[in-house]
Amino acid sequence: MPAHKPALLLAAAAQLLAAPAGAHHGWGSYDASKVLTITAPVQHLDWSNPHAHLRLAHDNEEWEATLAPLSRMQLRGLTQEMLQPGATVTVVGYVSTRTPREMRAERIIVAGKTIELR
Amino acid sequence: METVQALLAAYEASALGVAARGTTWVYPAANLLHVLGAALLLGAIAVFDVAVLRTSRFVGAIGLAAWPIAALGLALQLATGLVLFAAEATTMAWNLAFLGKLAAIAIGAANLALFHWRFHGSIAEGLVIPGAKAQAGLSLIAWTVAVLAGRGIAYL
Repeated sequence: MPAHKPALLLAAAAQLLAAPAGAHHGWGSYDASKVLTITAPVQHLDWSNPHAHLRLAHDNEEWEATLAPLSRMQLRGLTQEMLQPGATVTVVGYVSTRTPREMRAERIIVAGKTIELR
Repeated sequence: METVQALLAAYEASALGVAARGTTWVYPAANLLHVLGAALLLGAIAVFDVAVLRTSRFVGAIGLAAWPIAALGLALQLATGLVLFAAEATTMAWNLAFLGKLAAIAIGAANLALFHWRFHGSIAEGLVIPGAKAQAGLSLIAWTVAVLAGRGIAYL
């Protein structure tokens, strides 16, 4: 087993570097004057604490939408199953002032339901 | 640096990290208990440090009463902090507020060890030696900064 460890570590590190920059942050690093609405099929769902993330195509670019903590979304009726890749969603939120092509979603509309995320 | 990043990645990929990110309640529960631990730790420390600063003649009894609360708070902090850190170790480790918090904790802990070594005997007898006040002041500052910097992680 030890022989596989470095390879495993490298694989984990590479995966993390490729993953969206999921910083833990409040609303301060988003420009509330720049409201962005994206309607697109989910490309990738990262259903994880402290915030879930979606990857969506917008203007031929890949955007990352930061959602809410899992507990809040579940209490408001938004489940992991509703956000599986391929599901069409509309996210309304604000563009990050720090990370290019990242937004924080104020609300999400999926399967005819509007869920507030703040 | 690459070794550090690989270690952080391994910790993040551990079962603890997976549970912190992938379950609904592990992360929020750890977060709530982390706040409780901070309240107990800083509260107990502040009561003792202020007693030293005021040259209270009850300082020995206050120290005896405060330390178990502070120890419980610290234990909660360490246990829950490791869970919260596991969720996002690779990015958290380079967060300026987090690094500032670690520095404040290091200063607070070193100060505590020095205080204990210098003044333990006299405090037990209810005496406050003048040099203890400077260290009590530093203790208040260090632990307050640690708590504020901890909350600041979400905003930097």
